[in-house]
Amino acid sequence: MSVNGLGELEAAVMDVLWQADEPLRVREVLDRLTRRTLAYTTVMTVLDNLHRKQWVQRDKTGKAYHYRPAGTREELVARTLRRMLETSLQPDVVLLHFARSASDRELAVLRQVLDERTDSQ
Amino acid sequence: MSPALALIVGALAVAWLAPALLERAIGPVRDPIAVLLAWWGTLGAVLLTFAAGVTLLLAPVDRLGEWAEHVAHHCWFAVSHGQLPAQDEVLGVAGAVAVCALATRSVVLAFRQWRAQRESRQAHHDLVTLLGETVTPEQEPVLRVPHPAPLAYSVGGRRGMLVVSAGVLRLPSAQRAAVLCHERAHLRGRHHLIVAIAEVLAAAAPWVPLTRRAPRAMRLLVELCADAAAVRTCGVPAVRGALIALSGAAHPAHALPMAGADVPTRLHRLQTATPHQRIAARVVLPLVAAIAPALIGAVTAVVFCA
Repeated sequence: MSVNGLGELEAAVMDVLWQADEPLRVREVLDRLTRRTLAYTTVMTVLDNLHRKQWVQRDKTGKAYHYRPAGTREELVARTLRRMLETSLQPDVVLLHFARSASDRELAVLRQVLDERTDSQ
Repeated sequence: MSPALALIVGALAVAWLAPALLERAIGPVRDPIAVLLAWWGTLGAVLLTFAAGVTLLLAPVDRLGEWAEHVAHHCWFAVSHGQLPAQDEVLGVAGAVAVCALATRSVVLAFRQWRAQRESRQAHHDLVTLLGETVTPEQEPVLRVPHPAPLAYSVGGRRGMLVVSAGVLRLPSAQRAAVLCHERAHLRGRHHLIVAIAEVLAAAAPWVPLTRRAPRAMRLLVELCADAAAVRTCGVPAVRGALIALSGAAHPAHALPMAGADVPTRLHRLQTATPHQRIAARVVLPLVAAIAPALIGAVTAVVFCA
């Protein structure tokens, strides 16, 4: 397994969940992972990790857990970027850097989000 | 003046006087590694000399049991007679308390920094998982940030990582190679760890000029080291171009960005000459730095006793 092997596996499992229309059980995720032969327990562990990371949500129906993504890829990326910003010692500085380097279109989106937040308060 | 006190005076003198000299050494000494070693030599020597002085103050006799009995007797004497114990011991205890407080503070701060860096590293690896884009076939994972602004930094740790934006990938190929080479030199040289330790020491003892000024100097020195590595493989024009293209780019706190420290100094250094490596400087400079506290202590003792 390569250095980022676990990450690749997580990415593959997330892809399966994003493509599915309904929540999946571990067995169903395993069946849809076409790229390689994996052990049932491996997929279970990966799903467990993803649940701990809050990338997937799970509901218990009957005996088995059903897994579904906790958001779109973009939402998870945004949440991860948020985490990176929070670990930074000067989040405001980083934020300002991003704002200054934003394109006109990005700024328009930012303004729209800010307006939405002001309206909802 | 007792030899113990002389050692403490020597350590304090170096802690206050050395930073200015070390900062100035970056000019005449061409080899950044020599100056980096000198910084660490000074930091280590000052800490050790101070601790040795404190230990000697408290333990003038060489047998520990005797010494403990001596101290206990002294304390009892002081308490029962309402007198202070000898001056050396008061100073020694104060010094020991200072050393212990400093060590504890360093450990706590180091733990905090380690936790923050682990969190940041995990977030970066999560981004690689989510975005899943690697651009070079090298060992380290490369995270490609889909943003037009040029941005490049490396995240240290056991599984180090390069982060580059689409803006960097659009640079001319020589400059792009220089950026990757520079950041890879940071990972190879464990530069993140070097800067992190200096930052912990600075946070633990901000009132000592030597520790307070170390992080900034070390950030510049590791950049010079990485620049030199990039010049060796990619040439001066490519590194210069990359530096100019990336100056002012944003980056997270624990990362080492391409144009992070003192871009003018580094451009000047690139312009003047190719750094030729001299092993002598790497040995002599740290050695001088390491014996300086003890030497100054000895001189002080001689001056005051004569």
